[in-house]
Amino acid sequence: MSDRPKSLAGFLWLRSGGHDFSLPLAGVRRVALSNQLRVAPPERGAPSWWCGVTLDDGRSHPLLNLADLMGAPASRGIGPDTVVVLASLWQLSVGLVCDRFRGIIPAGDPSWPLSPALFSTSERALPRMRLWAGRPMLDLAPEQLFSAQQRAQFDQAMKNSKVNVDQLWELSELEQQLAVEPTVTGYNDLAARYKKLGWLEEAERMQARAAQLKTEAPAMRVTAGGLSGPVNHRVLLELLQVLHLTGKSGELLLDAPGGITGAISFRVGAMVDAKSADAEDALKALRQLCAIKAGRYQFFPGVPSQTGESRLPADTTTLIAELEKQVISAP
Amino acid sequence: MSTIDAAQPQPLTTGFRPGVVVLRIRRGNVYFLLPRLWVRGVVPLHEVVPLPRAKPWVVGLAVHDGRPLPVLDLAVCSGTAEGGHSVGVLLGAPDQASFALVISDGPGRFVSVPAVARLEKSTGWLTRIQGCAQTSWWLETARLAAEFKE
Repeated sequence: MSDRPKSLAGFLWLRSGGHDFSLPLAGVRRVALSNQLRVAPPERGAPSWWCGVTLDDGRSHPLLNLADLMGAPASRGIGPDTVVVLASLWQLSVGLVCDRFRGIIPAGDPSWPLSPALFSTSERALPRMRLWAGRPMLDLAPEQLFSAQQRAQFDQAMKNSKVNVDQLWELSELEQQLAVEPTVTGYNDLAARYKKLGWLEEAERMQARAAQLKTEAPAMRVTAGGLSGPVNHRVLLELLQVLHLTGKSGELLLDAPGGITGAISFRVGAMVDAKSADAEDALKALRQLCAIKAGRYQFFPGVPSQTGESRLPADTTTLIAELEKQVISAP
Repeated sequence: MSTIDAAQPQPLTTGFRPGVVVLRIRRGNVYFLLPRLWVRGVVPLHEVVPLPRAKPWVVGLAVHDGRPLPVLDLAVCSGTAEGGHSVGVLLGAPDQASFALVISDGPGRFVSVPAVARLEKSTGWLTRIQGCAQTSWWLETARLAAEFKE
């Protein structure tokens, strides 16, 4: 059996600048909300459709505003709920910035060619149209979004963004190192460097992490004999199973890009608490943490800070079985 | 002389001649004559979805008979810009599926091309007609269809 991932058939249904588009899934790596991404903002003088560069899965992706490139009314900048489609363009990885992700269009539906005569310049004509949800929809060919002038602007913006991207890489690596060996000073220094570069959200996140470390200091000191490493939702599930079956006590800390942090507490193999930055309820926090696609974990053995009554269902085996269902059904 | 004698064969057109039956549609104060054989029907236009980067005379796309068709405004093309519309005239080669919709203020009327009518020198698929009581244009549908196929 081949381990190569199958290329997906079908189309993404996107909305941008008041238009509905379909984008072949074959060239799409993933769809994200901008608040899940770390973005180096555009440099001064960059074209209006250039929204900066994001780092994802070890690669940098220039962010391109789809509506602006299409000549449709575009909202300026990127909001937290802006949809970013990480896809291929000229064999480069790019992020197409859209207003909304509306769904998946299955492959096999009929489509029709669009005559280049309909467009102001045949060079930038859209190739095909299809019907979906009873409305005409345009097939998007990312390469044809660009005029020759815009292609030159794209190349120039790529060159200009190099310094910003390199700095973002460096700081991201520092952050990953800090996730393995967290220190208050380290996070404060990192916050200062983010601030200096104008990445205020990142700076605030680092300061919050430093503050959190200060309060958690007694639990965090026990690093000897602790486990750490990269984590995704499947690895996390395995970790939970191992910690449960081996009757461990301690805290499992999780840290993922985009400000996702959390902790799961174990007492003699039983999960007794879960916390995440944006969920009050322990069970909800646990489910959120089990959706992490990429991050780091650290397990600190010892008595967890949660010493009262368990905030999670008492039957950890059943709870893990439920989480397994969630993980298996996740894409 | 820039005009072409109506009695002579028209080298750049097919179908235009005095007496031939055409569908006459109106956009504001301007009339457009469409060859009868290329008119597949007249339909209400409920929803036209705009097409980004389109030429000014391409209003958008509308669904007819289970497929999207481009919707064209001949008034914009002839330089007599108009807004609003009520119906679309389906264009298609004889015995073939429709390839476009042309918007009109109303359903139009079938009339004969006046005996004195003649075309001005043709520059594309829309040609001004001389000899009609109102400002009128002749739509060379075969040429339009050919351009859409390219």
